[in-house]
Amino acid sequence: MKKRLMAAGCLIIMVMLYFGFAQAPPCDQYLDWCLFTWCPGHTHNPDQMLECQNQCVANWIDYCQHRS
Amino acid sequence: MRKTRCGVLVLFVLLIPKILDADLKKVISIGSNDLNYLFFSIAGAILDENQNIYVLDSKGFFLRKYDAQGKFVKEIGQQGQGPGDFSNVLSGFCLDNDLYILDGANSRIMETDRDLNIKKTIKVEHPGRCLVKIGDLFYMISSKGGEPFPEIVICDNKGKSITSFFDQRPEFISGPMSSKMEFALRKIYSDITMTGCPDREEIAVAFKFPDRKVGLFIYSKQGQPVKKIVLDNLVRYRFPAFRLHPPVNYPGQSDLIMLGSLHYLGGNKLLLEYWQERYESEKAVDHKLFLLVIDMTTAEIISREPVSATMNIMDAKGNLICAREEEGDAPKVVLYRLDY
Repeated sequence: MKKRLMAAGCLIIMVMLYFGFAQAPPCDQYLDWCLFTWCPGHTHNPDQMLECQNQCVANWIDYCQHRS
Repeated sequence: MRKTRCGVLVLFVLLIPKILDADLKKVISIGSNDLNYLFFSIAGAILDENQNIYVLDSKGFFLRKYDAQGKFVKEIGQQGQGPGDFSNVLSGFCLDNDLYILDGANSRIMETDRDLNIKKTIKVEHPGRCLVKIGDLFYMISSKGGEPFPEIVICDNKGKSITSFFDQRPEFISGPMSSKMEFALRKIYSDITMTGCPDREEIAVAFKFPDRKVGLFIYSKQGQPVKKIVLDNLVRYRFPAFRLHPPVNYPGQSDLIMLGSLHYLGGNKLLLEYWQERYESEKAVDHKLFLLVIDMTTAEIISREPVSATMNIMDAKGNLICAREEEGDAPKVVLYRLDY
């Protein structure tokens, strides 16, 4: 039973990860998309928005440094 | 006599805030777990003159129509790149008898009639955001490659970029950039919001993080500056200035004013949604959301209404305001009447 639950959990996480990353565009469009499309759609006040935008910047610098 | 004058003056001072106060009444609310009323991520809502509401959902990949009573009428769209499909709906605009829906990932604008019958699809060269249409021209916020600052791109009715305008820069951004981090922060703090005023053939633009005073830039449909409206009575603040240069050295207390969105109500009136937040020791301690009605001709604030901080204004027309609300489990689209 435990194994089944773990397998189901892993599957859900993999699906979530797939759809989470599948939505993100390539590096040359990532920053604009994340700052101006993703964050406004997923936050409800400026504090959350700035936190989200800071995360976009951190992701962009980490993952897109050598790609864009 | 002097006492009477003082009394009148005190009464007048006490009444000023009341004069500016407006009254916001809920008209209808759409959103529940019923399949035709269930939303996933509301990217936009368009209100027409007959109070029909068109909802764009970026995770549900659909465009839906609800009538003036909030009753479901029709839905179109699914995820994909084919005709009638959506990949990432960003915004929409209603002009005359048609709706224009911008799909950023598919680089196109879908044109439908008000019964959501697809009339045509227009491929756009450089899709931006915040779609506006005046006459035969489309307007979108975009930025040039390698530039952090926004501009407004004008496209013809075939989606071809004709020209761009808006070279204003916030006062607090100056000097050369030295890092990718600074580039990104400049992008954030020079962001703009805009709306189209089709009957005036004008575009109104404002910085989301204003300088010491909130300013609205009015342009003609050709992108020529018409005038700047400065709202003198909004508080001065210095929020982005210290955040622009990492590592950030937070002051003990700071204030933030951030504009949410700008909408044309018709005639000479604009609706401005803005946040006021107080930060203490790096944490926001007070969130307030206000709606301002501004006279474009006299630059006067006609009304100022404090509203629920869970609202995001999506569209407005006359004295009707269409908002996204995230209270509880199900996202909702709510129509309000603003009496001022």
